[in-house]
Amino acid sequence: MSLKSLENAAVASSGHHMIEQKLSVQFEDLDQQNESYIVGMWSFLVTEVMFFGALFLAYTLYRVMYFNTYLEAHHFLDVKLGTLNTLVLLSSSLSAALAVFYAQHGQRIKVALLLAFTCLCAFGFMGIKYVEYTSKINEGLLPDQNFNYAKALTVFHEHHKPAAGTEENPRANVAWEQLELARKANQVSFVVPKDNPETTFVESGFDNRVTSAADATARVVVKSPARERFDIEAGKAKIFFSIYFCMTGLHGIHVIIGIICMTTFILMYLTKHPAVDDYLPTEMLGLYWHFVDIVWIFLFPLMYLIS
Amino acid sequence: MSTATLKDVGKSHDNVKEPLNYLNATNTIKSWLFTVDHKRIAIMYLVAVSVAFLLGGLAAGMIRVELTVPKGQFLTNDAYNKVFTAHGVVMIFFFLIPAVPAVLGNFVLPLMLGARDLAFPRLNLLSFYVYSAALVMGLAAIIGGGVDTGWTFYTPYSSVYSNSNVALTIMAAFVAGFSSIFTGLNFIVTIHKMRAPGMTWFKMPLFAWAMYATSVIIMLGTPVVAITLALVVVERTLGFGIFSPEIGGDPVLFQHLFWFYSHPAVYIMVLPAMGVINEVIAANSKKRIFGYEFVAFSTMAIAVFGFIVWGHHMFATSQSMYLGLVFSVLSFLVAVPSAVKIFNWATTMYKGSVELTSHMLYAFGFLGLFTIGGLTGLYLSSLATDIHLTATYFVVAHFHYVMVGGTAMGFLAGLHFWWPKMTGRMYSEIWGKVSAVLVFLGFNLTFLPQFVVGYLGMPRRYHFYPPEFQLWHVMSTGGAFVLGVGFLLPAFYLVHSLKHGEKAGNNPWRAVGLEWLTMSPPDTHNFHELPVVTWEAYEYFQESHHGGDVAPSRFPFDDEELHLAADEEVHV
Amino acid sequence: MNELQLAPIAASQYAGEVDKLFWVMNALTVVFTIIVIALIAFLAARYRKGTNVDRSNPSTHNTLLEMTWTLPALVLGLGVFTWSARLFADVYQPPKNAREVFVIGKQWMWHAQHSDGTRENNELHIPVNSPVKLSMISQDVIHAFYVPEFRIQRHVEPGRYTNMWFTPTRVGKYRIYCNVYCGTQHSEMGGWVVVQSREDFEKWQAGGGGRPFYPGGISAPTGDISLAQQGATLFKKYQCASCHADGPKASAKGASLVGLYKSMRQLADGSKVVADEGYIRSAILNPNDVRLANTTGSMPAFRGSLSESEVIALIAYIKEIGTGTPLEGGRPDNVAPAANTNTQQWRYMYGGEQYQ
Repeated sequence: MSLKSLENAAVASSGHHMIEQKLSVQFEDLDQQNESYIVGMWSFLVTEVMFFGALFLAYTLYRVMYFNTYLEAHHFLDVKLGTLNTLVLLSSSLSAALAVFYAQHGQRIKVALLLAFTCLCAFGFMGIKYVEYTSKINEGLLPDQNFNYAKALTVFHEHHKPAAGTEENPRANVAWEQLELARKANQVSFVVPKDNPETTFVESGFDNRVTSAADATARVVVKSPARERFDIEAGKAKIFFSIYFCMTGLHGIHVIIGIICMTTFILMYLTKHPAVDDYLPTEMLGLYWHFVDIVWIFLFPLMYLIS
Repeated sequence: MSTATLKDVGKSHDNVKEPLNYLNATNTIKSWLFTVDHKRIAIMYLVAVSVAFLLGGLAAGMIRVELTVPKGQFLTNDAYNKVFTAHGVVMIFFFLIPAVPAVLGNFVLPLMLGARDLAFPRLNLLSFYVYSAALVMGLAAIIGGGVDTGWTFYTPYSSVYSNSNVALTIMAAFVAGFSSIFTGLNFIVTIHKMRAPGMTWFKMPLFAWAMYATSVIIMLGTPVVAITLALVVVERTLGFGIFSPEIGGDPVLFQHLFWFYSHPAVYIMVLPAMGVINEVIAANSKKRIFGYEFVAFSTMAIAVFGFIVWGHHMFATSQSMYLGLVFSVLSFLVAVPSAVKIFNWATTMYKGSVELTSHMLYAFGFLGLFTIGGLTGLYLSSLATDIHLTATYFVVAHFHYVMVGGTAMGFLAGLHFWWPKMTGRMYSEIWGKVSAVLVFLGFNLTFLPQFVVGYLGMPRRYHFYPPEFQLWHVMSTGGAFVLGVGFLLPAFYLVHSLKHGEKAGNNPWRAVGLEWLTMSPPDTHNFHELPVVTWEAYEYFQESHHGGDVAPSRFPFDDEELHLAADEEVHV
Repeated sequence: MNELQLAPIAASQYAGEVDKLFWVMNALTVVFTIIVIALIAFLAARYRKGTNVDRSNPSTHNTLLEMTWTLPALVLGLGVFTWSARLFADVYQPPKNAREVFVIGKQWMWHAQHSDGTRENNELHIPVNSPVKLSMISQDVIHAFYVPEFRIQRHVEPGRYTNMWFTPTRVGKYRIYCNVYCGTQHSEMGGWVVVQSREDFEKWQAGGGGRPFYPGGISAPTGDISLAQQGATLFKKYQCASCHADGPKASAKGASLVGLYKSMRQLADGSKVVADEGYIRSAILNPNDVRLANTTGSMPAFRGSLSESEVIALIAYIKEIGTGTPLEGGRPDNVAPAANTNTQQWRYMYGGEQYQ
C-alpha cells in the first residue's frame, strides 16, 4: 500500500484536501520522497534505541547483581509523581498525533495549538522532574561525593513514621532497624551538627570515639581518621541512583530537545515558514515524540514499580 | 529501454569552453560552504581527513623515532603516553572510520546507483560540519595538554585517575560519532530508496553492498559507544559511580560496552575498503567479480557476526572461561567470510584481462596485507596464544596490517581509481605505481618485525624496552620512513595533476558502472534523466578468445560518444 | 645476546605447549599466505592484458569451488580453536597443592605476599618445578601481570581477585611486565620472577628473603610473621572476636568463622555463594553487600580502614581458623619500602648487562 493511496483514503474520509507537497530535486516522485523520509526517521529511531539500550543493559546487569538494593532504594522514588508524569506524556503523545493529522490537511492553526499543548505537557513533565530531582538532592541522594544514604533514610523515616508494619516501605523499615540496632550497639550515633541543624547524619566510630556534650541539642562524635560514614549498602544504592539519574537525565535531555523542536515548529507554523508547507517534518517530529514517550513507558515501571 | 547519453548533461556558457560541472558551476566560498552537492561535500571531507591523517601520521613518526632506542629519545613518559593516545584517537575516529564512506562513498555512491544525490543532502552537509567540529575539539584537547588514557579509555584510569583532557577528547569522539551516524543513515535510505529504475539489489555494485553493511553497523554500534563514553565523562566530572569498583561498580562493564561498538568499528573501517577493492579488481580484470552473491552475503555476514565477538578483546580479564570459549569460537567463524572474499577476488582474474594500473597495485597490496592481517587475527582469537600475545606488539602489528594494509590501501586504491572522475584529470601513472610499491614495502618493513618483538613479549604502549628488542625496533622505524614517503607522494602528484594532469575522458579505465556514464567531473546533478538499468553489475563481455582487449557490450560504452562533451560544447 | 631470538625462553609447563601451537599456526599462516600470493601472481601474469591464452567461457560463480575453499578453512580453524581451548581451560584449573602467592598491583609497582610472610616488591621468588597460584588485586586502576617466558598474563583489577597459575620449569630470571596501560610509569612497572632451585629457594627464604642479586633497585626487607599470623594480629586489633568466634564455640552476634573458607553461604537476597577469597574480602569491606539470610547486618564496614594488604592477611588467617593446624611460623616483620626514583626503576627493569 503506497502512501499515495493512504493519502487518497484520507482525503476521501475527511473531506479536506491533503496539502501540496514540494518535490526535492534528488527525488523522482513524492512517494519516493515521503518513503525516504520515513525510512530515514525510523533508522534514526533505531540508533536512539541503541543509545538508551546500553543504559537499560547496565540497569539490568546491576539489578540482577544487586536486586535487594534496587528493591529498597526504589522506594525513595515518588510513584505518584511518576504516574503523573506518565499521564502527562501520554496526553502529549495524543496531541502530537493529532497535530500530525491536521498538518497533513494543512490546518496550520490547529497544528500550532496542538503542538503548543504538547509543549505545555512537556514543560509540565520537566517541572515535575525538577521537583523530584530537587527533593532527591536535598535528601542526599545525588550520587556524587555528597551522597548520603543514611541521611535519606533518616528523612524518609521522619516523613513516614512507621505504623507498625503498615509502612509501605518494609525494606526501609528493615534498613531503619539495622540503623537502630547499630546505634544500640554503640556503633553509630545520630549527629545533628551545631552549625547546620537542618541536617542529620550518621557517623560511626569504632574504638576511638570521644563524645562530648558541648550543647544540649547536639552531640558531636569525633571521627577517628581512618573511618568513614556508616552507610547501609550505600555503595550499591549509589549505583542505583547513578543509573536512575543517568537514564532519566538522558530522557530529560531528549524531552528538552523535543521542546526546542516543537517551539521552532510552532513559530514556523505561525509565520507560515516554507519549511512547514510540507507535513512530513511534523510527522517526523511526531515520531520522535512518540519515541520519547515510549522510553518513559519503559523507564517508569523499571525504576518506580520494582517488586 | 533508454540509455542515458551525455548529450543530456552539461550546459556550457558562451565564453567558457569547458562544460559546466560540479567543480566550476559556481565559484564562491559560500557556494562551497553551503553546498548540498554530495560531490563537493566529498571533496571537503577529503581535505579534512587528509589533515587528520597527516596529524596522526606525525604522531606515529614521533612514536617510531622515540622507540628506535630502548631508553627513548626526547619525550617524557607523560608526553609519550599523550602522543600514542593522540595517534590512536585521531587515526581511528577521524581517519579510518570516516575516510572511505565520507569521501569515496559520498562521491561515488549516488553516481553508482544512478541517483542525483543522496537521500538527504542537507543532512550530508550537517554530517561534514559535525565532523569538522569534532576534529577541532579533538585538536583542542591534544594541543591543550593532551590526553593520556589510550584511545580505549579504560576505567577507572580514565574516569578517576587520569589528569589529562579526557572529557574534551571523549566529547570530540562523541560528536564524531554523530557525524558517522548521519552518513550511515543517509546511505541506508539512499540504497533502499534511490537506486535507478531496474537496479535490483543484486544488480547493485558490490561497493554499494559494502556501504550498506557498513551503515548498518554504524547505526547499531555507534550509539552504544557514545553513551558509554558519556558515562565515563559523567563519572569523571559529576562523580556518579557506574564503573567504580569502590562503590560496587564494575570496570569490566565498561570494557564490555566499549568493545561492543569498537569491535564492529573495525568492520566499519574495513568493509568500505573491501567495497572499493571489488570495483578496482573488476575494472582492472574486465570481468565480473567471481561469486558475486557469495561476496554480497559474506559482506552482510561480517556485519552481523561482527557484533557477537567483542569478548575476544577481554580474554585476559576476569571474564569467565565459558564466555571466553564462546567468543573464541565465534571469532574463528567471523574470519571465514573474509577468507571467502579473498579467494573470490583472486579468482576474478581467471580468464580476465588484467591491467596492472596503480590502483590495481594498491588492490594487490590490500589482498596480501589483509590476508596476513586477517590470519594473524586468528592467533588472537585462539585462547591459548592470546593469553601470551594480548596487549603486546603482536596485536599492534595485527591491527596495523588490517587497518593500514586494509583500509588505507583500499582508500588509496579508490582515490586513484576515481580521481579522474572526481577531478577530471589523470595523475602520473608512474608515480602512482612507485607510491603503491613504496607503501607496500615500507609497510611490511615497519610491521613484520613487530610480530616478532610481540611474541618476544614486548608490551604495547611501552615507552621503554629491553635492549635485546632493539634490532626489531630499528627495522620498524626504518620501514616507517619508507612508508611515510610512500604516503606523502600521492599528496604531491595528485595535487599536481589538478593543474597539469591530462584531461580525463569519461571512462578512462573502460569500466562498467553508472558513474562512468557521467562526465569527468560530473555535472552538479549527475544525471538529468536517470538511466534504466537492465544489465548485471560488472557486465563485461569477452570478445576474443586470445588476448586483445575486451569491451563491455550491453553497457552503453562508447568511447566516441563519451568523449564528446569533453571536446566540444554541448547545447541542451 | 648474539643469537636471533624469535621466541622467549620457554620457562613454564605451559610455554612449551603454546609454542607448539604457535609454530603450527605460523606454518598454516605461511602456507595460506603463499597460496594466496602465488594465486594472485600467477593469475595476474597469465591473464595480463594482451597475453595469448584461452579466455573463452569464463565462469562467474561456482558453488563447488566456494565450498572447496571455505570448508577446509573452517575445519582447520575449528581444529586450532579446539586445541587452543583445551590448553586455555588448563590455565583456569590450578592444582590443589599450588603454593599461593598474593600479588597487589598499584601505580607503579608490584607487591607480592608469600604465605610465610615474606614480602617482595617487584620481584617474585619461587622454586622450580612447583606449581604457583597468583591471586591478584589492584589498589587503583587495572593492571596486568605478564611474564612472557611463562606465556601467561592476566588482568589485575580493583575490587576483585583474579587468578592465574603456572609451574616454572627452568631456573632463571624472567621479566615481569605490567601489560595494561595504567598511567605515566606504565612502562617501568615491572620486575623479575626469580625461579630458583629448591635449595637456593630455601636458602633465600631462611635468609629473610633478601635478594641474591642486588641491582641497585628497591630493597624489600621481609617479615618473620607469616601471613596468617599477621592476620591473627589484625583480628585482635580490630576486635573481630567480639562478634565472631574463631574457636569452636559460636557467638550469638556474628557468624562463626570456623571452616568458613569454601563453604556455601545463604545470602539475604536468596542467592547461595561459595565463601572464596572474594567473598571474604567483600564481607570484611562491605558486609551488607553479602549479608547472610536471617541476620540483621550490624557488622560495620571496614572499607577505608583496611588496606588490600591487610585484607589479604586477614583472609589468610580466616582460612586457618578451625583447621587445627598451628599457624605457620614466619619471618621478621617488615617496613614499607621507600618509593623508587625513576632512574632506579628504569635501571632495575632494563638496566642491561649486569642483570643478565
